[in-house]
Amino acid sequence: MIDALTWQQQFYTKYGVDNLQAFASGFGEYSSPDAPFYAGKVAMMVEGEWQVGPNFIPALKPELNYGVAAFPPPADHPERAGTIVNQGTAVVIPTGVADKEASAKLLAWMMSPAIVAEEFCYNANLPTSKKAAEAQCFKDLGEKFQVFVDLMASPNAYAVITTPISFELNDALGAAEEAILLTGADPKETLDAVQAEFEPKFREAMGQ
Amino acid sequence: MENSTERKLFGFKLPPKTVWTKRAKSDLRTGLLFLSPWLIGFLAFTLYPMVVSFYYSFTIYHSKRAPDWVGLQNYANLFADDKFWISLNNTLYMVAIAVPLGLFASFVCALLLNLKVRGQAFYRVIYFLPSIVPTVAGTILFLWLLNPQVGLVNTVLAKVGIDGPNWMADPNWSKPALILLGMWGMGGTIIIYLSGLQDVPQSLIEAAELDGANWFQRLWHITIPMVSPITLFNLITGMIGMFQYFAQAYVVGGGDSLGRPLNSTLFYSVYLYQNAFLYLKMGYASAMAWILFIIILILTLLLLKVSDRFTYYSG
Repeated sequence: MIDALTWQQQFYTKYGVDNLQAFASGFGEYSSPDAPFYAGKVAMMVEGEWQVGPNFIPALKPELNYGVAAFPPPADHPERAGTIVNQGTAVVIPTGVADKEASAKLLAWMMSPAIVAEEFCYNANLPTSKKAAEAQCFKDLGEKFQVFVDLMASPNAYAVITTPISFELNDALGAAEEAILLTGADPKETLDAVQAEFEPKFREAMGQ
Repeated sequence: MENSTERKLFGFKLPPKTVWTKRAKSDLRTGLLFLSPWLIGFLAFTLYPMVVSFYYSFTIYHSKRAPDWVGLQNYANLFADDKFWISLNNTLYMVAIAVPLGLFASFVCALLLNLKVRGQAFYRVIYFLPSIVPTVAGTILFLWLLNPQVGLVNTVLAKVGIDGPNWMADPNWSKPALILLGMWGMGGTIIIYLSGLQDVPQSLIEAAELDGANWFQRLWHITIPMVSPITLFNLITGMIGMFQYFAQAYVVGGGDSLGRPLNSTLFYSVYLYQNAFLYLKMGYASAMAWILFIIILILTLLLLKVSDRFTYYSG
């Protein structure tokens, strides 16, 4: 992450923070035909599988000529091929719920392959199990979607742990990224500070 | 001769004791019944949340579990929290600059709109219209107007050879941009000033005119003192509103980028919202709410206290 931010930082140094900020301010809204990747303002983007589904690129910019590929691994670390981060929506049963058994039954029903296929195909989201992924509707989403499905089976697929501090941590990482890019803060020092602040909170959130 | 039935408490005269006749009781019941919509609303949606939030401010409470009592820990943590101070500074900046600037601009506009000119009603409507535009719509409109690349403001500035700033994307310009947005919607304050200006006795103005006072002298010695209670009202309500500044900053942040760029739009209420509804730290947010309440209370009392020196009540 430090290397990635250092790499990104060089563009802000080279072109100037104000210029890049002005350039980025001309980007359109996320799910609109003016989104920077759709409008040809950025050459690539790190995005989720829903982009290839019926509600995004095919609906907003059907003529877009693009491809989907996994991150190439660093030259000196070929074993990192197929690295991907999966982040799902957490469905939880609160401890104070009146009928835990009924809630558990509902949760199990929601995660059953047929229901997952019905719900997740609609917005082209990755299924939560291999069994659910066998449904025809996922195959109908095409080869580009299949790239994401295949990556789920990669040994380098990681899942983001959703905790009560996830929002706060995301905000802190976002603020750290801003500080590094806009003020030229040192990436290692900035990220170390975030880690020092959040490691104890994370351990507490995980009940350690 | 002193009435022997007069009731006193610590030397203060008390009203005569109510005799609870059947009629008086019936009147009380009817009165309470008529008051009940407000009473129930006040108890359920104002008093109860306030009392409960005061209790929560001494607890760790995530809304899904019972609160854990931690005493003054939330308050101590707040004072050691950098983002708390950043949000307070940003808010004070708005209170110190946007409120006086808004009052001044509203007063000047009200003076102009009070002039007996052709099309007076039309101008009044034009100035008032922005204040009925919903906050979210107005903010989005300004995001477009102030867009550094394609916005109308920078396009016009470029035509006269000025390289416009990055406005909302620049930490040095984001708050001035929000002040500009606030001033666009100051129609309500203008209307209140306008009503005050129309109450300034014409006889005083004419008398001053006869004595040879020029326009500025009449303004300074008659109009401004006569509308000073209006200024005090606008100042207090403006200050309270600015301490609770939220909606515009929320729209600018787009929900997931609150406070950006570089925490320059992280206002007190925005940080309070983050803690309460995104980080689920209800106890911490309750402590923030009580600190804000105390700050506003002290400043309001202070303003009322010093207002004797600059407020003139003709009655």
